[in-house]
Amino acid sequence: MSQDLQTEKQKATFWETMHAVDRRWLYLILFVVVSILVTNPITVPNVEDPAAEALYDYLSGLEEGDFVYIENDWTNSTRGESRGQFEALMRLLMRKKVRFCISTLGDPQIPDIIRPILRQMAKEPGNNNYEEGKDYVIAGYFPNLEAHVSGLVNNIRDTVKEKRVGGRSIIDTPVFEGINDLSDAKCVVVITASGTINLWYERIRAKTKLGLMCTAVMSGENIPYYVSGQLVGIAIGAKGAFDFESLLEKEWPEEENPGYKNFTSGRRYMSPLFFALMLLIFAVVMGNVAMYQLKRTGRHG
Amino acid sequence: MLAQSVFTPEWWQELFSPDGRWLENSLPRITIGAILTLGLYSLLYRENKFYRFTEHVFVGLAAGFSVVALVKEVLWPLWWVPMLGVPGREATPDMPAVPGVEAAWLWGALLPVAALGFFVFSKKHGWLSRIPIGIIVGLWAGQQLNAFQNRFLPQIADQARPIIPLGETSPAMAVNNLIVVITWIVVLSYFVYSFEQKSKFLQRTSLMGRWLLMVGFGAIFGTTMMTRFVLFIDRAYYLLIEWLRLGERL
Repeated sequence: MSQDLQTEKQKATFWETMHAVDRRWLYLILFVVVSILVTNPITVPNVEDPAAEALYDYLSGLEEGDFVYIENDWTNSTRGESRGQFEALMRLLMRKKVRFCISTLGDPQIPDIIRPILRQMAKEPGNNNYEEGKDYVIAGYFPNLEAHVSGLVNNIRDTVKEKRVGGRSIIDTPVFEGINDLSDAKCVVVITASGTINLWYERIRAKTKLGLMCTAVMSGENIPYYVSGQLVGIAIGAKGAFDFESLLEKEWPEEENPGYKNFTSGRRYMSPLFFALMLLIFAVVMGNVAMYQLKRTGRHG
Repeated sequence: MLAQSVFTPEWWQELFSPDGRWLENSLPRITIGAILTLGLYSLLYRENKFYRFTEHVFVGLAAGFSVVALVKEVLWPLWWVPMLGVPGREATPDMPAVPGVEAAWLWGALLPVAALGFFVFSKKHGWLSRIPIGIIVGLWAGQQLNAFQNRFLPQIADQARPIIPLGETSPAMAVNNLIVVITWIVVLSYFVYSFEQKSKFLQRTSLMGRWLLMVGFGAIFGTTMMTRFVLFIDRAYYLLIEWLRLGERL
């Protein structure tokens, strides 16, 4: 009887420890797990999400010289998810020789963040030495969200005409040749970590297709727009970036195209993410089992 | 591994090299970012002065940067240049001709209207600040009917789905559609607050709606965790790969 009580006491002590573990230990374990997998990433297989594939397929079907308008609303705060998406999208458009204009509603820092990325990517084999002012333009930051999106839908040239590249208005560049209305664009792609996509749902008036690349946290509220047909496709979080990278690899395999770069952060972050989520699930299960055990033995609370 | 990268003479040489010190992705620049990242993460251990310092640096930089960016990206190209105009430029062997922009002084009329916003600091004349706010609110409100129609009507229309497996509707699709339609109805029933829910049927659908909402919130929480973890993984990549060079860069 006494031995049983002793064993029960030891069990309770273990569960008590599990229930009240200092969260800093969890942070440390998370950091160790993530560090190992960031420095030694494991290549994981991928099954592309149909919604991301739909967006990729639509953009991949564009022809040389087509025009796409990109609303780019992310900064370094969501670099982990958004940069991978942005880079994969840029690679696809550059390889397809599609012209594009990028503006932002989210943060005035964004043009300065993406400009060096684009210059670096343009030099990669397969990306056709894209040049600002000739193949793409950065329209920069626009402060009034409602006015800007409405303006683009009503009169795209008038809305962006004050933005200049190389001393001339961006609408006088080859990028805007033949683009007189938003309906001349084949698609608007919004890469965002905030609610700016809602303005496009509200104002685009079916003038062209709308695509979305968003953070994972935004997926729940935006998937219904894909299901209802308001979005041509949606790439979600780092997995969405990985989907785009995998589809780039299918179209331009790195083995057959020396120097091509298809995979960046999307694939690289998948294995740390997998193990981090496993750790989270383990911690949640342990915490709940511990609470149950403590309640059972009357030690909880 | 750490010793192989951080304590190599090359790493230190690059850190203190005067060549390209402040270029994009240069080690000195990344080092500053890494120290500030560590400062912000130090809060995870406990509240401390290093964290406070980095937080204040961040707030100050963000505020200062926003002012510069607003002037450079907004006031200058969207207001000042159209108001004063820009002279054209003739073609040179290297550059094509650039057409000028004609001055439109009417843009200047916006300045006093915008300046009224500063009366918010005056107790006596504070009402004047409501004029520019009123213009903005009026413009926004006027667009909302159209905005609602464009955003939500397709959503509502999409709820009318075939739930009988006939024609192009496969049995699997019909079951899927049925789940969507039932979820839509029971969740809406949860939000019926106009009268007391005395009916047993309504009480049950309302309860089911609440449970389904919880499932939805759980899914959203899961995706929130995914986002947060990826952001942390990216910071770890910044510290370990970009800064300490402990692995191959992307």
